[in-house]
Amino acid sequence: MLVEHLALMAFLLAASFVVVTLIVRERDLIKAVIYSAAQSVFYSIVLYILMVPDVALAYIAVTVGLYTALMVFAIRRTERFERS
Amino acid sequence: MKGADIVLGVVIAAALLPIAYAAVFYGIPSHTGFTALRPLARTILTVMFNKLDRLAWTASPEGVTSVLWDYRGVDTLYETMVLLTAIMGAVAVLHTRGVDIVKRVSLRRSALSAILDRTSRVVVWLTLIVSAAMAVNGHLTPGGGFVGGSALAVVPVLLVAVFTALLLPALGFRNVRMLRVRMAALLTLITVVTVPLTLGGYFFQNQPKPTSRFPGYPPFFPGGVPLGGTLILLNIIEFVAVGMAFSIAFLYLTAGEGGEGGGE
Repeated sequence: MLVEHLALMAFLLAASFVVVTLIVRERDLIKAVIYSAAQSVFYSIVLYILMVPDVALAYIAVTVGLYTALMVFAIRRTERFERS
Repeated sequence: MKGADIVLGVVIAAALLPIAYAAVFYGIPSHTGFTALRPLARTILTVMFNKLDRLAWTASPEGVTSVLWDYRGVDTLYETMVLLTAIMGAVAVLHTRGVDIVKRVSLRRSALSAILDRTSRVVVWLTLIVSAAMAVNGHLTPGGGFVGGSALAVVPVLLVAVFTALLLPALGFRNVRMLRVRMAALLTLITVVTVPLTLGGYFFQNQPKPTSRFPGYPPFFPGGVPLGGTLILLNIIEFVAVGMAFSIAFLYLTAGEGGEGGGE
């Protein structure tokens, strides 16, 4: 059971790295924010595997809900597309 | 471009997977293992809901809430005060006339689309129920005041995003009123933790203690459901305070957003 948990955790951390790569390379900032929410979901599952459900709940609420919305409002006041 | 990005990400992740596996398996910082219980955790788990030794228990089967609001309650009180100071600073810096405008708004006309209108109504009610449940059951299941409060703050954020920033003041959630609710919640918190002091007990006392004359807050609801003494009260107070704090901050940040087309 322990091995499966660790393997799943390693997979989630690696998958979150894929998403982070997408965030850094993305020119559309709104899409980048959505990817960052997806990355937060991976991290919250990792927190759940690490047996901290309290932290996982707060993490989901803050990073997927509040942080994403705050970034969307911030982007609305500037430009949506990053210039190369 | 897009395909190349994904390939690059997958390649790096494939290289990273064995490192991540090794990190969590052998522990690069300090891996403690999932099966071993540390001495401190063992003590807390043995003591917190031990009905036979009521001088050391917290009357709550939830370890995290027991530590946060009973054994280390003063820490959490200071955290609450830090958040209060932060919100006060934000209000002092960001105060504009925009947040004081109260106009009548039409929900249907201000929504971005009919689909968003309907789905967001469902999500808003679900979030309200789930966040309240997390706070009220905080002494029984994972969750608690701060977690529930930050989930509650998602509701105004969603309403502002889908409808208009003018909706919250129109519904009665004006910044001054929310600040008053927050202050009332904090005063209630101070009252709850100082009542034992006036009755011969300790500051922040929850359950009976050896040298205290205060008998402790009621540990059970009639019928046997654990109440956790002060824990349920403090969780509900923190839920209101944190929810209001985040809502106030967000209302200030979005003041003046969606002013066009939202009014009626």
